[in-house]
Amino acid sequence: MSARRDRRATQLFRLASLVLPPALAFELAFGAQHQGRLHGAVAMTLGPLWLLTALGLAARSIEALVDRSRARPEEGKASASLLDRLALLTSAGTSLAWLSSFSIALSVWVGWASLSVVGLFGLGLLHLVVLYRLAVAGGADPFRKASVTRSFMPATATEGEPVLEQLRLSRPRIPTGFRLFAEGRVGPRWTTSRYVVDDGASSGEIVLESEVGPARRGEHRAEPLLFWLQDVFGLTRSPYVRAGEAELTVLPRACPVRGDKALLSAGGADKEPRPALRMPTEGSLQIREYQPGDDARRVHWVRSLATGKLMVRLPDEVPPDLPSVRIVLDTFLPGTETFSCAAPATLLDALVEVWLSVAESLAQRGAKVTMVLPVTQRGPQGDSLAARSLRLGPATRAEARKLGALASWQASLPVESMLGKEPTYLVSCRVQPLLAGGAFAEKARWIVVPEPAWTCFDEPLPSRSVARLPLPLGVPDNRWARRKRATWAWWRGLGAHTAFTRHASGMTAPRGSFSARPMRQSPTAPRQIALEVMR
Amino acid sequence: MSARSSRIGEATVPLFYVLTVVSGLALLTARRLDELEAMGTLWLSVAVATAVGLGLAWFRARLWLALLVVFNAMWILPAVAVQVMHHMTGAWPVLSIFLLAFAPGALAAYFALSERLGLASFWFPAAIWMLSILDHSDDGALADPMSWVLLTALATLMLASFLLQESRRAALFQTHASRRLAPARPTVVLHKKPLRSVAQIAWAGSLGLVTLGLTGVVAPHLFQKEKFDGEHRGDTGAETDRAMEESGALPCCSGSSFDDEPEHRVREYFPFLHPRDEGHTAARPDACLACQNGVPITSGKAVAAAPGPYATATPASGAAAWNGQAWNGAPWTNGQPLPAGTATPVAQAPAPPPTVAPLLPPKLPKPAVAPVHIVPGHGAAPPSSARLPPIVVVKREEPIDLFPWLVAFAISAIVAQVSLRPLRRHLVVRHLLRPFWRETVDQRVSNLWQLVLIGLRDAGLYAGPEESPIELGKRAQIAGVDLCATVLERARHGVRVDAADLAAMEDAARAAYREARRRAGIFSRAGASLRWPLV
Repeated sequence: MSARRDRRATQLFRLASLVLPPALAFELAFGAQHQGRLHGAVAMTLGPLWLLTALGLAARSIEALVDRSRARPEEGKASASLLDRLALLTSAGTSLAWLSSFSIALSVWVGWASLSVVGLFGLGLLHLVVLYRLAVAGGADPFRKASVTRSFMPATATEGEPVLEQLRLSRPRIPTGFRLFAEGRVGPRWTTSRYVVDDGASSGEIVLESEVGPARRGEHRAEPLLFWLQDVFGLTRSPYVRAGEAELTVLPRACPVRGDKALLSAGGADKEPRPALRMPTEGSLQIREYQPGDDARRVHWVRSLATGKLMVRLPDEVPPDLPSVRIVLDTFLPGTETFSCAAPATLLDALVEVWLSVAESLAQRGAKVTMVLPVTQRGPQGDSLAARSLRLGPATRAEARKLGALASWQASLPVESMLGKEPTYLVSCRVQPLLAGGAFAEKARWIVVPEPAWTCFDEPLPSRSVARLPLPLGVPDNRWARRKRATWAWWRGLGAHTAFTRHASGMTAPRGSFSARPMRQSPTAPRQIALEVMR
Repeated sequence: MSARSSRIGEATVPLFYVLTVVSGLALLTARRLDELEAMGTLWLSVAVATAVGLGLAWFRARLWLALLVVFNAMWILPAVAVQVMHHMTGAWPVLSIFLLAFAPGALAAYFALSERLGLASFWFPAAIWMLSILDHSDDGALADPMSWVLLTALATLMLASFLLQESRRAALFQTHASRRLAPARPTVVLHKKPLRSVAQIAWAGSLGLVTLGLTGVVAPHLFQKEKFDGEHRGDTGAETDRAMEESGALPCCSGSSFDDEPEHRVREYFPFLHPRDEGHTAARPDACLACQNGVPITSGKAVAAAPGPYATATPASGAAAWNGQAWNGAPWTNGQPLPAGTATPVAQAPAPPPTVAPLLPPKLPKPAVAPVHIVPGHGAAPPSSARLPPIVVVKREEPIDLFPWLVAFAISAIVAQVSLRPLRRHLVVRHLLRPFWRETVDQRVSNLWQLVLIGLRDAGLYAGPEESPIELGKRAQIAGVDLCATVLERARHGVRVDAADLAAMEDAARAAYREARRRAGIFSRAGASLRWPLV
């Protein structure tokens, strides 16, 4: 709310800057001269400019009011407000308005000819550009007849891959003397792409590209880009127009897992056959003829007497078979949306990565892996959250990754609803008490993804040097208000990250649980996941 | 905008600022060759100030630090140079000029790279330029055509300065921010209107013209004039002049002797403007008297020089240069004695004037060294017996003003360069179609493809950086382009191209070139004839 109020105040100031400085200059400078010829000259030159500017502002105000009254309710909030349309000066234009008027006033006081020339140059240029802007760059420019196509290459990327954003503009309307600016991003953790197009490309076809990678996991609906026109002197701009929505799917990546064999053994489902725990009188009692070396205690005397040969009983064994494992992704963590830092999303990426990596690793070892995760399903009655399970195999590997891309934090489906009869591993960031308890709890083991091992607050602290500006001169982010805002955002982010670390940490893991940590053999080597037994 | 073009965009602003300041100083120096000491100091001060200001901007110094550095440099630099100053005779004027230019020069250079203080940064170059502009204007009302030429140049520089500053801001917009930015790739233009650049030039030119006219009409009314009497001449001289004027005698040759009205000059920051009589510049006497300190020389050693700003020549050898004729008390003119019996100017009424001519130099500008022809011999002192003041005829050779010639030369060069472009294009197209010398088949194929590209460019179609000729042929939808593209691809891949292929490609290329130019329209064709490079 405060940011909005600040924005309104800025817009009002800029609107006033269009009128107030020339009026003050006229009153202080031209009025003080008491010269008939000067008044005549001003009336013949600047007077019509001021009059036309006032008329243009009035016309644009009426147009904006008519547009708002005609707009449908759902469009009303999205469309530009009256102030958005009328506050057409940029910060440079506002500064020019005040500086040129100040120069004219100063030229009367100190009498330097250069001040009057510079001031009149500035004031004249400003009003001419404002008039031109009011005439040619109002309304829904620059997309009256244009089309904007936004796409990503590759359209389906894997987490960490470089992604190229491509923007194709066809027949954009960029009036002469203006530039088209565009700014936007895919989502909060993505880099911001910015474009500037000269008016030479107006009504033509241009392709803009920028490298927005590395890709972040998820099924993204990219935020629309913000377009506006700005004159080549940087004095005025048009209202913002949002356009260019696009979709991008980034699949989770799977890393090699170290220690997964221990995982199978601990689950009781590796490839080694196990003797059945049965009484000696139980079992299938398969027999065969005695061979040297057989245990004499296994001789079946009754059968031996009947056949006249020594017969022995075979040990009753579970035949070697593919063990079944259920890997459940636990995304139940209420309250993640309240944290303004990137840690929740980063941790979820880590959970999905561990979930997918472990499943693929076990599948490679021959286990029958069933992957389970809660997924939002869109239906005629609206979106609903349900557990989705998938038997991992060569044919379903791509589908499993797509499911991983859909994973998101949720607060309505606890992990108990996703347990099964098979040996189950719960991939979770914290050990939660199972509501189901009892029987299920005995079959489930935890693979804990500790939050501090996977996330860190790596946002650079904004420069606080008292002597140097953080960015080159001329960059708007050097302004004191923006620097202050950036510093506050950094501190807020740090606080949120600390709070989230506390929030995502759970109880002490029970014995036999596993901890998943990222590991690299060398700084340039690909990442691996190390599973360690928690004792 | 690529990183390289971004760097170029960032570097143009300081370069252009330096160019503006240096050109202003060069113009001023050309008008002040007789004040080399002051000009040298001004050059030195401006150079140091500009270097300090741009250095502070490059260092990203905050404003308070820039102010602190400039303030301290204003006493540190003179203190360092005190040894040099100690041996100088007119140290204080030099120091005052240095300090006068240093502080605003440094701050203006610093502001040149700022976000919003472009107008403030332009004031300093404008102040230097205004000296030359006002020098050309006798009445300070920009009545002289040369004043308008220079004012137009100043307006052009200001517009260009604003344009470059905004271009730099646009480049910074894409490369610097407090958030992470995606690196942008170069913009790919696939199609644009051919005559768009003409519209841009026309728009900028018309904007500049209107701004210039507005400034030229209003600014002179804001100019203030300051009186200059008593500063250039002593009271004694003024009284003597008045007395001689009342008696009808000729005035002294000294510069101040003609200033029978208080002198005025337009007030400006730099006190280099020469004072002028207020509306009396036409009333110049045809002859004058040799005076010393404003008093006509009647006895003793005659001073054959006109002290003051007009001439400072002093006879080198006095009596040795005297031609031996006896001084008979008759007045001399044009190197010849007047006929005997001619009344002396002192006793004679002002009308009719003696046949002396062509006479006195214009009041301003101050000539460097004007040759003085002294009537009674070549620099010889009149005989001590002479009782009447000698008439000194000052023949001043008008200095050759090189500026109009330079302007004419520059315009001629531009006109020649532009007018030769159609011829150059014609020769190139002719060579591509029918080479002037024998060329290989592969080279012919390449030439014909170049011809197609020239035609497509005339129609506003551009080849993308990774677009193959076949793809371009499909996109262009001009008959013949696809055939040319096919032959070109064959040649590129080493497939044999025989004479029939070449002939077919030549026909197709010619047809495609004509069709593309037909689509472009007559105005685009006319504009394309001036384009260079062709592709």
